[in-house]
Amino acid sequence: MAELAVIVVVLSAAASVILTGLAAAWAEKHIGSAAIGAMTEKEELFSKGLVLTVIPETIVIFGLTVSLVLLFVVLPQLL
Amino acid sequence: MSSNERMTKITLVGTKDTMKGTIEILHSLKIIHILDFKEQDDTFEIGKSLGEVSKFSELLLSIRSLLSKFDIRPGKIKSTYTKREVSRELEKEVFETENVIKSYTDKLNKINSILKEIEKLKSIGDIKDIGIKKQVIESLDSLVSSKLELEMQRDKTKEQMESTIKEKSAYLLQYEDFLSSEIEKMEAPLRFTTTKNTFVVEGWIPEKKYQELDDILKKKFGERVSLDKIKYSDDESVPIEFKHPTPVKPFELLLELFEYPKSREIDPTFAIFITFPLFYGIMLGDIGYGLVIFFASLLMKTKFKTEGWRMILGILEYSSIYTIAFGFVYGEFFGFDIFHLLGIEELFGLLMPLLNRILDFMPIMILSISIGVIHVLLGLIFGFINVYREHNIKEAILKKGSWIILIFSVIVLAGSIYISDILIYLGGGLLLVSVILLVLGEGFIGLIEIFGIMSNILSYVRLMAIGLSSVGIAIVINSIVVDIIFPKGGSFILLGYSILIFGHVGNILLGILASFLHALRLHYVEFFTKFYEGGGIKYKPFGI
Repeated sequence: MAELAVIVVVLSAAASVILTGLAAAWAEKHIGSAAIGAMTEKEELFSKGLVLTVIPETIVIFGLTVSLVLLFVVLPQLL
Repeated sequence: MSSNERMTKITLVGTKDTMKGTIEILHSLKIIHILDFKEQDDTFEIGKSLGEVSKFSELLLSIRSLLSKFDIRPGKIKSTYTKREVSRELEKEVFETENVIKSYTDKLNKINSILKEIEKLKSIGDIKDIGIKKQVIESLDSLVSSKLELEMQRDKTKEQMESTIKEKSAYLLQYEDFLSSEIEKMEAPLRFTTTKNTFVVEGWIPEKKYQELDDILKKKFGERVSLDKIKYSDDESVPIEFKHPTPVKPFELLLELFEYPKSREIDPTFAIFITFPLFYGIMLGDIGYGLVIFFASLLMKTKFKTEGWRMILGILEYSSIYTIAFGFVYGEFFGFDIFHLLGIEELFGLLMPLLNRILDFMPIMILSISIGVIHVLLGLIFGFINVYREHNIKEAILKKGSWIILIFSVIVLAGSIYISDILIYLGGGLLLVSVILLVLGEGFIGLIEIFGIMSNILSYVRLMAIGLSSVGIAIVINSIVVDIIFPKGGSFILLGYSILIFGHVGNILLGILASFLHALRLHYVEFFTKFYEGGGIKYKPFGI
């Protein structure tokens, strides 16, 4: 049983980084292209666009945090 | 913190014959922020510019093209010139210079076109046996040989032109300055409201300059010009002039990118000055990277002198100092564990490094979240003050006080785990109070917002995460080079060094950008949403 738990925890840690990374990339793709579109109309929007583009990065940061907690807090208790 | 200049809205009404004199006075005082004329109807219409602007603009354009062609800037010339003092002599100098330059350019163009033709003829000389008479070919050859002389002449002309320009650049700059201010004055009526015989200027001036302006106008025009304060509503955007000490000044840029504060709002520049470099330092935290950024921004400051660049480099400079400081805390030098490598274990009685970013990520994460709690709390306190100023104490407690109590109750509850069980009752009580206030203030919808504020605070985990990714890349670069490439020896050493340099340059660029953007985002999204409304405009006095 314990082995199964370890496998599940490790896979979850991997999934949380991979999936949130993909999600953040997908969101940034949309925001980024919209920002470029806005910039062709009005060049001063560059700085605002740049800031808006990094906003979804929160998703992957949460994912990274979850996976770190899984690997370094939850996993040692199982071993 | 709200030490910014108080503005007052004024109207200035005068008869048309005094318009030119009034513009002259306003232009020299440099205090009025003119509001552009907007609505036109039967009686009020937009003013007409004084004199022939087009002639002046044309002249200005040709001078500016000269200035940009030869890259003449005020900082680059040695001789000094006084601004806005123009004599006949200067005008003559400028026109003469323009003519001389024009003749040189013509000459250059001629030489160049001849040289081009010669290039073409040369190819005819190459093929000798296609039936062209010998004499023709010979004369062609002599023409080709004169090419060298022509080229020499071209270089000489170029040199002459450049020396002329250098000699006269001070005059040109001065005249450019004079022309642009002259055009500004001539076009000023386009921003005024006029009727058949009068003109009206609407605008803002600093309150304490009001009397001075009134006195000057009274003295010069008597009753023909009158200055009055007028009332303005709260939602009108008041121009704002920051009065920050020099170290804080660069951080105004971050407000400019967002929105200027309204006049009665708390101006957060000072808070940003403290927290922005701190966040940046926590994220990047490397002695080597900090030093590189510090010296790079010092170097670039001597090259880029525009206002925007100066501000951005100023911000980077402060941030890099924090980066170096946190580099010492983490014990990192270009990703290497510096204290370990140097064999230093203790410094000032402290075990070094204080924190290892890879191994101690949990303490750093807890630190990040604590910083988040404090920062969000600060934002809420600013919000409390803003709401109190705008409405009253009851609104402030319902709108912002409830959140402050909520955060405190969570802190107390968390503390009860470590300190004493009695705190649970205190924390629970506070939580109940805050929830009641929340429902009273914003309805049951307000309860959903609790998740919002929770994700706001958790968002500060990025202080740890961004740093972790940056140090991770640095360690990967180092270990590839030191553990894999260097042991192979020979020419691999060179490859190793180039990988080190390229890798770290890339990582520094990424680090500058990522840390900057994420520190900025923490301010815009997490901090500003708690109190900041914005909507002010920049104070741009007429005449500058």
